Amino acid sequence: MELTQTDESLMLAVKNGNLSKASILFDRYNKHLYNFFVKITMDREVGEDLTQNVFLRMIKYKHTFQKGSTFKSWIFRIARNAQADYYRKREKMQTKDVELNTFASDVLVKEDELAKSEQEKLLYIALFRLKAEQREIILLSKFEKLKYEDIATIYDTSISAIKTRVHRAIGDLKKVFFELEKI
Amino acid sequence: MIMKDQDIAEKIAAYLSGDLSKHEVYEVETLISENQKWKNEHEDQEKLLTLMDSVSCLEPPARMKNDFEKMLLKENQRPEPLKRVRYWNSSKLWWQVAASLAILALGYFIGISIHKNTTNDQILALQKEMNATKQLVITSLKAESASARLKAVNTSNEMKMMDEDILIALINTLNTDKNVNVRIASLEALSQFADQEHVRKALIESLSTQNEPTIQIVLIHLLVQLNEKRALAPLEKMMNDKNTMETVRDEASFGVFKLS
Repeated sequence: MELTQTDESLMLAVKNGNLSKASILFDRYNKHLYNFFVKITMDREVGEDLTQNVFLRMIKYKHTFQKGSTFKSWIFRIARNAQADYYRKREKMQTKDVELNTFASDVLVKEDELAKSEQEKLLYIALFRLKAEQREIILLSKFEKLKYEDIATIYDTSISAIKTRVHRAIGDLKKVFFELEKI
Repeated sequence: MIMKDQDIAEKIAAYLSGDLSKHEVYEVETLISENQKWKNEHEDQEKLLTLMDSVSCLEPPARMKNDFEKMLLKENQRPEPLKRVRYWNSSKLWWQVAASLAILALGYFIGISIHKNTTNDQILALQKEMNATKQLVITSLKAESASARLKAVNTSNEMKMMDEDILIALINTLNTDKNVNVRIASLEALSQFADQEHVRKALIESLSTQNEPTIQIVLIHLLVQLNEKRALAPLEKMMNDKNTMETVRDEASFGVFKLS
């Protein structure tokens, strides 16, 4: 029965007060969100807190979910806001070289537990050399496999604009990754 | 048209993502087969995409589900928001208040339309009416019956123009009324005037004195919504106070998270 229910119908039930349905949505999305957050912050604890925070917001702002919306876009938009709040708090979202280097060192310490190979480790460091939005877009598109239309909804822009951003981000990531590989 | 290197690299990324038209696919494939530089670019990007596909998926800790279920349970136990009680349903007293307000409104519009001809006597009469209504509300806020006090708060809530004395009376009600519903209603009425500094200050101060969880939670939500940073200190205190109910402490910590 649960499997046949769409994310959207479950969320509409939650919106109408049937909070038990939120549990199914948690099961479907907690892994996605956890991976998104841990890979974007390189911190399991922060990833856990932010994932919990998203589900807390899901309940708190359930009234904002509209019929006809895609749940995945809606929940990842909440996730984006949650992580933006986190970065605002930590003031680490800047891409200045000095801060990047410090943050890259943090990553070097933390990624040992997250990355299984040297290549994965390099990939995460390369991701951190990108602009914050590029990093986010790659994680959504290539790691969490969100469709272009879902990402476009999250960013409130057109599908073609998102496609261009994804392609550019991959080009830039490739450049940084292979530069790092040479070191 | 001559393409820049970056444009070609992006085109290759689009090709690997399956985002190109048949014609563009042909163009890119020709380029890759004829040009070593772009052949390498294609190979590198392909390698990177394969790496991204193979990245390990992390398992969230099992306690997350338990924490979420606990949070859901608390949410289910949370009382429904208090519905506003209409005051014009019973007693004679409240018909009088309603009638006074109607007269006030009528007087106001008549006053506007015949502004130039308004005599001092008329203005005085209007002021007299306003004062009478105000006194009625303030007196009723001190009434013995909780329902009378609740109606007084709701009446004040209906007033478009809030009088300073009524605001002070409402703050007093919020902090001292014995009845929780009356206190919540006064909080609801005050929230509409939270742009006034003294009201806002009173709301922050009230956070430290309230001990009823429902009111504490509504207050926290309101202050977070107002982005009131001065609430951080009392919220942190609340968060660490073991005598405060766990649900309230959770809300306080969420408030601290949002305001920090």
